[in-house]
Amino acid sequence: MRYIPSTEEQQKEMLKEIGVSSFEELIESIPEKVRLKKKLELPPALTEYELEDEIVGIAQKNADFYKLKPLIGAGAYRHFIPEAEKALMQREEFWTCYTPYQPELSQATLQSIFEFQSYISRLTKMPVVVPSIFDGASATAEAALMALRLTHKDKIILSSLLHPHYQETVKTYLEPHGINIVELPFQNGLTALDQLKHSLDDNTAAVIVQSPNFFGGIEDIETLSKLTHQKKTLFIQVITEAMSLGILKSPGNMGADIVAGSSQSFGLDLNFGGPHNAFLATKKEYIRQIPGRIIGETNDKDGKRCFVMTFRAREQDIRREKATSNMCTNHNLNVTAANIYLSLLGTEGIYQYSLINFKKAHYLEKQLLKSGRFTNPFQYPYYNEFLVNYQGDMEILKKRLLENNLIPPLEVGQFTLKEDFKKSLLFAVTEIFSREELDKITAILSR
Amino acid sequence: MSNKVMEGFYYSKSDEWVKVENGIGTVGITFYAQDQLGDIVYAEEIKTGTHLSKGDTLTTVESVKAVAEIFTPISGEVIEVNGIVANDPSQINQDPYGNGWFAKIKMSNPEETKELMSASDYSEYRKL
Repeated sequence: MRYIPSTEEQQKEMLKEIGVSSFEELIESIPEKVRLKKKLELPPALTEYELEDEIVGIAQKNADFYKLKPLIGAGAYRHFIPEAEKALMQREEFWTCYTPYQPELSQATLQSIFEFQSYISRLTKMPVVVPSIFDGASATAEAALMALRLTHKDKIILSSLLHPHYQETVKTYLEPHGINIVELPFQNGLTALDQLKHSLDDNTAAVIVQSPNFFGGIEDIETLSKLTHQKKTLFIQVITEAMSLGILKSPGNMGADIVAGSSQSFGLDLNFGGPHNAFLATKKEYIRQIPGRIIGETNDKDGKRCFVMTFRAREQDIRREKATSNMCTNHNLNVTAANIYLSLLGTEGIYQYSLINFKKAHYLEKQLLKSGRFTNPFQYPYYNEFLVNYQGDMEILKKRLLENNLIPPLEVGQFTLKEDFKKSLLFAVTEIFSREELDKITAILSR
Repeated sequence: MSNKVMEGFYYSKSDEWVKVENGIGTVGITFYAQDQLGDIVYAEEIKTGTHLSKGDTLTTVESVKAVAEIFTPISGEVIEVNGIVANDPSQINQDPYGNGWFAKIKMSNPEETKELMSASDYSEYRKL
């Protein structure tokens, strides 16, 4: 934020311009009792070099992912970012990529968003993609609202293995709508299929299932969506680890009606939890209920290829309180990052990366189980995250990992899940770990 | 002004028309309304059996540049909707007083037409 100083003379001029005689008169409408009578208690002013010392001292408390490698994922994943992407992202032309009020003036910005839509469409096998929502949690909530508008029903079924933060966000968004939210329990690391039959009824607008789920488990989306469709209910698949799209069957080929997900894994660092990026994808027949807008490809008056912003007519600047969403901005710079990342990987690259993630996670699980200090509570198919129970002291385990420059895995017990998970750890393993490192981790944890 | 208004129809200030036959009102939007909206690309589904009061939203239509609410100028129950419009919304532009009608409403208060305008009043109101 910019600091704009003003002199006493300038203040007088401004007051005169708006027609009041003094600052006191300007703030007359603010009741006396809410005014601060004393001066703000601020520390004495520092010199520039004193200030630098203090700020740098604070900044040095931060650890980065070169110092510490994370074994934690749970919705945000550390993946390698190629130097070429980092170099390209330094180009200033990308930094002001907000969509302007006359969007068609900025053809390059529109094309960038269009390319992102195309990438996500190919990966999800969904024809319509709303790009650049802030994060996966709000994209999931927008998907739920979309389902309510499409079905005019008033019940939403959530898998209990939807990320707990996503669940909270959905509940916050739906609270004013008076929606009946039903939680679907899990069994052996996956959403309980037989329970869905009991919860599903004619009032159900949507069933929301994350896959890979919060425990990394790969859900049987085909069976779940087939069951869901029996009641004219929409099936929403949530994805927190977009890298999984490289090897897992696409949601569009498994019966998903709406897909909401985080695309942080595509070229974005963890950034202390944000900014990230997300997408919402759907079928063509639901296009009029999407939140936000999409970019379309067309021809200009000379017949040349060009891009336009389309389906804007239901946005809040036009429709006010009747808009499909109050979502009013996006993460275009992060869209650009994802485009560069995905173009560097290519079709073969994303497949290979995705497979490496899968294999490395399975390798570490196997080694940990072999050590005898860990057990696996579930026998389930999983992607690059898995749940194991630790037999020893959790505090000692965490200390040992940190001493070896590793961020410990997630302690699942901190979330209020129904079973006892006090001893459970959720490991995330991405391509950043070599086999030697994974063996070293096993050795550290087997002591 | 020949095709801009239809004699014998009733008109609302928000540019809807009603044709009344045997207590049933057929509702559409005027030539002026469709002209203002531009090319209409979508009309939201209207459900038969819906009970509406005068001024309620009957449907929403979307043109390339706007989304607009269509209000019912009469109260009653929707007994028929125009499938032609759902499949081909451009009919609203091409034939606003014919093929482009939206719904037939069984009027619960036939007196309401008295509050609406005649063709000549509407022509004057919109300076057609």
